[in-house]
Amino acid sequence: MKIEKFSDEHLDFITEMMNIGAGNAANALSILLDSKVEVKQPKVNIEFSDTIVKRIGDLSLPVLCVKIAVVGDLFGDMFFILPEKDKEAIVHLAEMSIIRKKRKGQLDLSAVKEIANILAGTYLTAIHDFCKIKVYHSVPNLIIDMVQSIFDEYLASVAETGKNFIVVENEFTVMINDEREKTPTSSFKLLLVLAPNVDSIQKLAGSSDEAKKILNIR
Amino acid sequence: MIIHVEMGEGVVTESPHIIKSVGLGSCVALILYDSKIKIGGLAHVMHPDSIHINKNNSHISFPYRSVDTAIETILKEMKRMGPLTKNIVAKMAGEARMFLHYEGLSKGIGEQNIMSIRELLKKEGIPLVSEDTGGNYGRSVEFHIDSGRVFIKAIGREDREI
Repeated sequence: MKIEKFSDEHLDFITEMMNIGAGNAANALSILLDSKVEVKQPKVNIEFSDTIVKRIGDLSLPVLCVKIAVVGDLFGDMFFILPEKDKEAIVHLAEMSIIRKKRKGQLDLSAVKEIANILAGTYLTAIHDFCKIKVYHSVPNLIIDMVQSIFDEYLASVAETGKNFIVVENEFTVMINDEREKTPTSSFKLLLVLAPNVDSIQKLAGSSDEAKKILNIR
Repeated sequence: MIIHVEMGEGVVTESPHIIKSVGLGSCVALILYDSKIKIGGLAHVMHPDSIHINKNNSHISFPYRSVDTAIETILKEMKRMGPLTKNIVAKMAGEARMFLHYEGLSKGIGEQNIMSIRELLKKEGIPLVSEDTGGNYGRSVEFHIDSGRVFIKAIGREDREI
């Protein structure tokens, strides 16, 4: 049977997978920053082409977005979205982990890309472990612009397929392990948008059904 | 009154309304305006043509999504609102490439959109008087029907008028 939409059961499965992904991500951040990192249970929703942008926020709101392509058994894109107001906090965290010369008056965003790269890996590992499928990702691509214009091109290319988006809302709190630090705790919201293609939806839904069979859940 | 146009939508109205469309990425805001009778339309177009997307007859339910059906629909609506004069002009804004090195050197969807607009406007005999296209940043467009002026805003850039 061809599955075009995720059911509630599939959503539960994906939520569990993303829960583990968020745990992995917090762990990775904790090692990277040598600090305690807390993560709230992520909220997972399925959105469609016509509702996705509004779900993320005000259309004209500037956000920081890192786009990463997913290849392998799963095909699609991942978007890491941070509200622009959290930009400085994340850059500060990024700078703590990767020492770079700061250009005068300019935020070094390449370290942010690096963090997104690491986090992408942690979420994809969760998918890999859960579904037993091979997933790889491309180099990150960073952009700061309005939510609508970031998704504009993407939605134009998928507009007619009634695309499913998996939206994962994460909240991380970092407790910086340094007494000199002026702001010892900083928290940021990270929105992860997964845009699998139609075949990948089959794969994800298929693994969910298989898992159910193995565990004999009715 | 300010009318908001979202992605794939369009509107035709008269003075003194203002039509606004936020966050144009690779999409294009196509504006047709009759300066004499002060009637104008704006469409937030997504696709260069409706041929390959009409699987579910969406070109009928969403006529403003593709360039060809958008121009046709705006002109039809404008004619319905008043006898059009020979003073129709066109303006456009958008066609950014948000993720530049991603798409390589192939023509992006935005570039195909503006090529299609130029071709079809030529066919209709409507002059394209001004445009603000290209780049790798999103734009917001405000079209004042009373004056025919179009204002463009982008994050971290100065406001412009076309």
